[in-house]
Formats: sequence, structure tokens, C-alpha cells
Amino acid sequence: MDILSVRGFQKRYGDKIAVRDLSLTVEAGDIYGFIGHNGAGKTTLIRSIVGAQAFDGGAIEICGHDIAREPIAAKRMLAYVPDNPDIYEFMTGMQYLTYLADIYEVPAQNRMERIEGLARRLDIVDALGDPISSYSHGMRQKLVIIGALVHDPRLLVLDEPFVGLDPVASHELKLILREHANAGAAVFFSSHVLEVVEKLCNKLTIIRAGEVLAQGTTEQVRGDDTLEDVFLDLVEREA
Amino acid sequence: MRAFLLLTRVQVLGLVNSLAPVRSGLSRSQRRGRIALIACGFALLAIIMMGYLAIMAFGLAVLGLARVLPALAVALGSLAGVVFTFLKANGTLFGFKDYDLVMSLPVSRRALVASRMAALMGSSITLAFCAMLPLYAVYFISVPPRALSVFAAVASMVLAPLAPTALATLAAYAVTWVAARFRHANLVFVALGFIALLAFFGGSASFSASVNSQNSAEVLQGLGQMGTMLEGTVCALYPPAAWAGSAITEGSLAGLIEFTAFSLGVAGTCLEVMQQRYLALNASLAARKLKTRSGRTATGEQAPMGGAARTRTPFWTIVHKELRTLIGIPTYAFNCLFGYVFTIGIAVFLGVTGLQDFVASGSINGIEVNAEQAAEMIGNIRLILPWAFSFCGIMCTSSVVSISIEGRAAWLMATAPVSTRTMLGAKLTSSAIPFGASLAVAVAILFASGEATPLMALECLLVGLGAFALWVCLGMSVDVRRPNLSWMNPQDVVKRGAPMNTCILGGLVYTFLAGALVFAASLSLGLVIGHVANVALGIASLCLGALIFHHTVTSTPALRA
Repeated sequence: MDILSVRGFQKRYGDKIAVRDLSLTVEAGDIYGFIGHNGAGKTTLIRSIVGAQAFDGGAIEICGHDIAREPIAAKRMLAYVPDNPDIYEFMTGMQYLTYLADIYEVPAQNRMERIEGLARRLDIVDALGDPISSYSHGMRQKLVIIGALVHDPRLLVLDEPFVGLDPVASHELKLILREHANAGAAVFFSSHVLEVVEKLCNKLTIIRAGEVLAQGTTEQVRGDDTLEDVFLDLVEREA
Repeated sequence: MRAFLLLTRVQVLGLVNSLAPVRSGLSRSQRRGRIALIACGFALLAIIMMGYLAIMAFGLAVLGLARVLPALAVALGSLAGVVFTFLKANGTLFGFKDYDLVMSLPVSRRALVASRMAALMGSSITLAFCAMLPLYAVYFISVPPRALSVFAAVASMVLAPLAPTALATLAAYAVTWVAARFRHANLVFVALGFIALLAFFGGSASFSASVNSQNSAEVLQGLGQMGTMLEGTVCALYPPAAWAGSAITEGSLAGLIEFTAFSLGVAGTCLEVMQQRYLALNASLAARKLKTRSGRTATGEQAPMGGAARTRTPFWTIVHKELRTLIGIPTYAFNCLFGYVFTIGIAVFLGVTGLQDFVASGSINGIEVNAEQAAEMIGNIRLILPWAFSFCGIMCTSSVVSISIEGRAAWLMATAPVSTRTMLGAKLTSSAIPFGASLAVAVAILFASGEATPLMALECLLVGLGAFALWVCLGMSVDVRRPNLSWMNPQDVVKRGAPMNTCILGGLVYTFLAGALVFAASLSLGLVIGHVANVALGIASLCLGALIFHHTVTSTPALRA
């Protein structure tokens, strides 16, 4: 079964079509890269996938659950890391993670193991008792990532996840994403860092102005060039 | 000066934007229309308030007490913006979101602090203008105007709020500074703020009581003495009012100079103190965060993993989170906890003064009542009391704006695998619990003091919770349909949003009309019918609230961010 299936997705903002007839499929074990310039429609699709935004056409299914018709069943299968880690500042890090664990109904023993393990890997254990309002951008990003993984989602959706992370945490996150995919789940993320996408992803889609320019396995899209060369060539050709 | 004006302009633009946010999806003309509508609403409220004050002033003038009006106007204008400023200072003057950005601008700290204080002063001056103009208008109709008197009156409308507003900012500064020393600074700030506000209200009530007692005292020989006493009390408690009063009534230039020097001197001193201490205060706010972290690591304490061992259902975890939000955002707490405090306050007042003794004392506002009339009056007052409690519950309820208050973190709510019914139900429960508790405490106090019968207790609970359910669900449904998630300051949604105003204004009209209806039914058809009407209206309100909630839930399959 596909973990994520997007068919004929369309989204308008007023008269302007932000994304037109976009389709893609993410299977178990995939790390799927989604790249495009600023305003290409990446966040628009991602927000619709996770159920934060309604859309105008097409269908999105997560593990066979339609996000529009069965939002709760679909949301149980996924986790989202937004491009800006805006979270409840009045909570401590641990209160935030406990809140998410309760929302996703994660058993007490599992959540403690996962939180502790992930917090150690991302080097944030000592700060979990502090108010989130005292966190730096990178620390908040780490906390959101831990929160996203606390219920072991089948689909992890991340919007620019490497922004604000220090090199060590960035490296650790790449390992975590790979492990997650190897365990039979799937990862779908957008990024402007093409080197990361090239090394990490086995599949990708390039969009421009809401339309797909290229799609397939990383090898198919890249060919003999680097992903950066391909991306610049495609974008300039279409401009 | 240019920097000051530019910074002040940003403040004004921020206020205008909060009324109709650019990101609300409305067109330019729709935004203008909404702003105009809100302005008309405020203008209407101002006219009602000014009309009420004009009637009161006219009454004093008819009694021959016109000479008291200037001092009274200055005292009123001085107090008008104090509470507003105290509540707004934290978030406007210090502890605001764009502090780092503003401090990095090439402008002097004095200009920055002045621009922030100007925003607070401007609001206070507007309130003072509305409070003072009717009194001066009546005064100058009663007493032939002189050039210096008119000039002094106009000047006092600008000068009167300056010193109290400046002192209120210092009080807010002190409370914030003390609160910043604690780990749970927001909670301490809310607690200290409530204490300060209750002290202010208590002081104002004592002032009012002292004036009233002297009005009604038998020792007063005539209206002339009454006027002298009223004027004397106002001037003794706030001497600047006497200086301004003498400038207006006697054309005293010295009085005007004294008042001007006092107002500008206090405001200037506060500005100087504030700009001197500005970095220190903001640094202490920032240091609190660092101290919290270094303290933990210094002791080598492990992260509090134990907190994760406790589990809750999604419903109760959202209720818990909503209560944390309420305490975590001081503005939110100040506005939304007041109703509950008032609910208990009314019960304490009635419990202490005793409704029976109060009415049976033989005189209410100078009208003599006998024992039979007193008994009937107590019955009718008991019928209205549940409606007073119910208004306390809906005067500013956190659940109404609980969708908007999520702000930029709304993505968490939108992506959570929780049904709309659970989400909204938990949000509603989070305010129903504290209101229900305060209502129960209030009823218990009345019961213990012998002021309530079992039937009255039932009516208080039914009517209170019924009106609460009806208007909170209605306000909430407006918020669900059109949330403002792009707010910069919580006050944008807590004070100025359509959902909250729907609940408060609609609830005010509803409780007033329903209370009047019950009262009229009791007077014309008997006390029993009044009780029946209360119970029926309470149940009907509860059912209507449940219907609105159900409709909101079914028409909103998923919450969006």
C-alpha cells in the first residue's frame, strides 16, 4: 500500500492557481524530496497533506485514508514538522512532548523511551524542563522533530527541516530520517539544500509555479549531472 | 522627533491592523468597512457613557453643585486610563515581541520609550476626554465661561491622565520586575496584577463610599455643605484635582501652573526613570530564562522525564493545555479570570453585608421601606442574582477565542488526530470548569451566610451555566468560522475580536432582558412565576447552547491553520 498518494491536487488562492494538477506517490521505505523555488507551492501542498489547509481539487490519501473524508484516521498515520517551529511558548519542552504523546495516545512506557532516546541524540535533554519561550530557533526545531517522532508515524512530513539546526543535529536528523524509512515508514520533505536532497532521497519532485517540472527516482531526475545543475537548468528553461 | 513620530505611527498602524488584520483574507474595502463599523461601535459606547455622565453632572448642577464639577472631572479623567494602562504596559512598553528589532534601530532609547508611552497616554487621554467633556459642558452651561477657565478645562483634558498613566506604567514595571525573579513569572505577574487591581478597585470603592456616606449623613445641614464636603473629599484625596478645579472655577493661574507642572513633571520623571531602567528590565526578563536553564544543569539534575509517565486522554490533555494557555498569557488571564473573581466577589459582598439586613435596614438610596416591602424586595433581588452571576461568566471567557489564541501554533491543533467535537468540547470545558467552580463557591458562600435558599442555589447554577453555554458557544462558533491566527498581541483577539464582542455584548443584552423579564413576571404574576421563569430560561439557554455547539461541530469537519 502507498503511504502517501496525491492525485490531481489543485489549490487556488482567490483567482490565482497556486498548484495545478499535481500527483505523486510515496511508498514505504521512501525518502521523498520535494524541491522548488520560493513560492513554487511546496508549503501549499505540504499543508494540505497534513490537513492544515483545505484544497480545491484532487485527492490526498495517507495509508489509504482520505485526508478530506477521514481526517482523524489519516492524521493518526502522519506527523508534521513545519517550516517555522511555532509552538506553545508557555509550556516546557517536556510538557509539550507529553501533550503530543497524550494527543496521539502513546503508551507511557513507549513515550518515555522515545523521548529520552531522541532528546539524547539531538542533545536537548538538559533543556526539556525549561520553558519553550527560552529556546533558540534550533532548539525549538529539535523539539518539534522529537514531537513528530514520538508516536512513530508511518509518514513523516517535513517542511525545510534543516533550517536552524547546527551541523551535528543536522547530521543526526539525516540518520534519524534514514532509520525511520528503513523501518518501513516514509519521509516526505521539502528543502532548498539540494546536496542534502541528492544524498538522502531516493525519489523527488521538482515544481515551479505550482507545476511539476520533473519527477522520479533521484537517479532518473539527476541523470549524469548534479541535482543542482538539473534544477537550475529546468528552472531557467521554464522561466 | 521624527523617530518618535515614526515609532508612534507604527503603534497606531498596529492597532488599526489588529481591528482588521491584513492576513484576514478581507479586501481593502472590506477591511475599511470593518474598521469603520468597529469605530462606530466604540463611538456609540462613548456617546452612551458621555450621556450618562452628562445626566449625572446635570443633576449636580440642578442641586446647585456645579462648582464641584471641574474637580470631579479631573479626578474622573485621571482614573479613566489607569487600569487600561496597567494591563497594557506589559506587552506595549516592555516585554513586546519585536523588542530586539526595535532596539536595533538607530533611534534613541528615550524616543523609543516615549513612543511606547505615547500609545498608552493616547488611549488614556481619549478615555479622559470622554469622561471629562460632559462634566465641563454642563459646568460651562451653568457658569458663565471665562477665557482662562475654558483654556484650563481644555488643557486639563490632556494633562489630567498624564501623571496617573505614568504612575500606572511604573506600577506595571514594578510588578513585572518582581515577577521576573520567579520561575513561573507569568503566574506571579497575574497574581500580583490581580492584587494590585483589587487594591485599586478597593481604594476607588472606599473613596466612593466615603463620598456617599458624607452625602447622606444627617449632619449635613444643606446642599451647600454637601457640595463643600464632596469637593473637599475629592480635593483631599487627589490634590491636583483641587489645583485644576481652582484654575477653572476661580480662574487661578497659579492653580493651572501647579497642575501643569505636576502632570508634566510626573510624566517626564516616569519617562526618564523608565528609559533609564529599560534595558535592565528587559535584561531581567531575558535573564530569567537563562537562569532557569543554568540552574538545572548546574545541579546536574536529569531532565524531568517523569512528567512523560503520566497519561491523559486527548480530551483532558487539551483541557489541561487550555488552562495552561490561560495562565501562560498574562493578558489572557487578566481578562478572562476577572469574571470568576467577580462571581465570588458578589457572593462575598452579599454574604458580608447580608441581603436581609441591607434591605431591612429601612432605607435604600433614601427610600424608606417597611418589613413587608423588604421581604418582597429580597425575593425579587434573589430572582435577579442568577443573571448577575451569569453575566460574570460570559463577560470575558477564554473558550470564546480559544481557536484564535492558538495563533501561529494553530498547525498543532489542525494536524492533531482529534475530532472537532473533542477539540471544541475540551476548549469549552476548560472555561466551564473554572466558571462552574466559582459559581459553586459563590452559591456555597451565599448558602453558608444564610442568603440563599436551595431553590435559589439551583437557579444560580441553571441560569449561570445556561447563559454561559449559550453565549460562549455562540462566540466560539464565530471564532471557529473566522479565527484571527495572525495576531501580534493577544489583546487583538482577547479584547477586540468579533467573537469576544459577540459573547460579551450579546450576553449583556440577553442577561439584562431576561433578568428584567423575570423581574416583571414576578412583580405582575407572583414570585413563584418568577422562579419558574428562571428555571425555564436556564434550561432553555442550556439547550440552545448545546444546539449551537452541535451545529458548530457538524459544520466544521476539521479545524484549519
